[in-house]
Amino acid sequence: MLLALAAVFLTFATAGPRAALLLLVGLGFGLTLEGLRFGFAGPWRTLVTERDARGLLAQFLAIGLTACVAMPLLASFPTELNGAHAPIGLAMIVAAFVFGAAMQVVMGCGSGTLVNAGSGNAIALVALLGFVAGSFLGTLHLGWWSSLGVLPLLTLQGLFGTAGGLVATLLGLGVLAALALGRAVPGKRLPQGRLWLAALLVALLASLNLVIAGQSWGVVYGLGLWGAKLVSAAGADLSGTAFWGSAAHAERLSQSLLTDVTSLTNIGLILGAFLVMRWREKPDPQVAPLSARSWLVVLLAGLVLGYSARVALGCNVGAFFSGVSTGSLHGWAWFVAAFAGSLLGIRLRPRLLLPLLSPSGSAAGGGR
Amino acid sequence: MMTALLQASRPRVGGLSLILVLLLLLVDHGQSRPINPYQAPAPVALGSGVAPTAAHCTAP
Repeated sequence: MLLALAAVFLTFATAGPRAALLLLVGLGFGLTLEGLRFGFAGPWRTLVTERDARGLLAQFLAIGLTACVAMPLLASFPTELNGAHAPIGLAMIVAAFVFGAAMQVVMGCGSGTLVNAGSGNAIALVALLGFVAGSFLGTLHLGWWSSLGVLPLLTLQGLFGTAGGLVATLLGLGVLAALALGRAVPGKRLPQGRLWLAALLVALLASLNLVIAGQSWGVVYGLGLWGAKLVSAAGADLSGTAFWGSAAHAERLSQSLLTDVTSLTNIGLILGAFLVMRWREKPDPQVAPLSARSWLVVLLAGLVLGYSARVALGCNVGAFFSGVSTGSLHGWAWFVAAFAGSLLGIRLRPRLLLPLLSPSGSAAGGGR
Repeated sequence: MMTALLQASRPRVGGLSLILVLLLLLVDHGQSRPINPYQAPAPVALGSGVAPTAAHCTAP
């Protein structure tokens, strides 16, 4: 706790109150996701492999609650708040598919990789290193991928108005929830109490993120920025690249990470998860030992995660959670493509990490 | 050594994650412009009257 307080105080003293508040929001995410075991990749897998819909329903609940707050706010304060809106594109859809597959290999999505690394999961820490590198590499090619074809920016508010867009969002989530319930077996349909609480807290924190930062919760931009910072520190000049040479991104690259919204919440996620792990009387066991080849696979999968998340214009947080909850149609397209990719990833994981996995396939898990 | 590190307990690996974040912040501190406290944004964007300038992963 002292560690968290010190981090928040130092952030406040050096970067001001907004930065400290965003670090607190990130801490809240970390505490909630790790403490209540709320995640994205795990529930997608368990719906398929165990016909367990509870975690996925909690995700839909959190997104729906956030939409109820975010969409009216965005309509009322259009000059001060930005939704996570992006166009649907060919590369975006393919990249979301790839992201879904890779996140099942490392058993962690954007937020999950951060949370798992903070909670001491060795696979997630290795994957996070790859994620940072991949996110950065993705920025170097984003323009080319985007040139393959994108639709105009479409939002449900734009199509149906604010109230209609919110209703359409809730209806869409309801349809997905019904499909998940149809897939689930009895006893694995109604979320447990902790998941209800987690969904409420995640929705609250996501809403606070929007109100404080002026933009929706995201993860990937910060990780790509971390990679760019490290490459710059090594002497590379990124000003000649299309992405980092543009005014907005060049500004972020020149400014402290303590002024970057997603970096602050990302750091908070890691720290919050670490605190929960330390508070537990008996921390979860470390993931099962893997062969050198399997560690390389994890690193590469992390790289693919980061690269695909960047090209897909977001991960499960920025594209799916925040996109859908702020009415962006690309969030829905992202979810469909990523879930399809997840089906492939579930099959790939035991093959790629087979050597030292337990028969249940859970030894190297512990992911979100 | 790497293998031993990766098979360390969760507290050690979690601590390593925090150390890496701290190192990142130190590297960043060495190359970024100093933060001007007089130009810090309002505590909360909502009601500030200022358009958000932060970057997001959905932005091209």
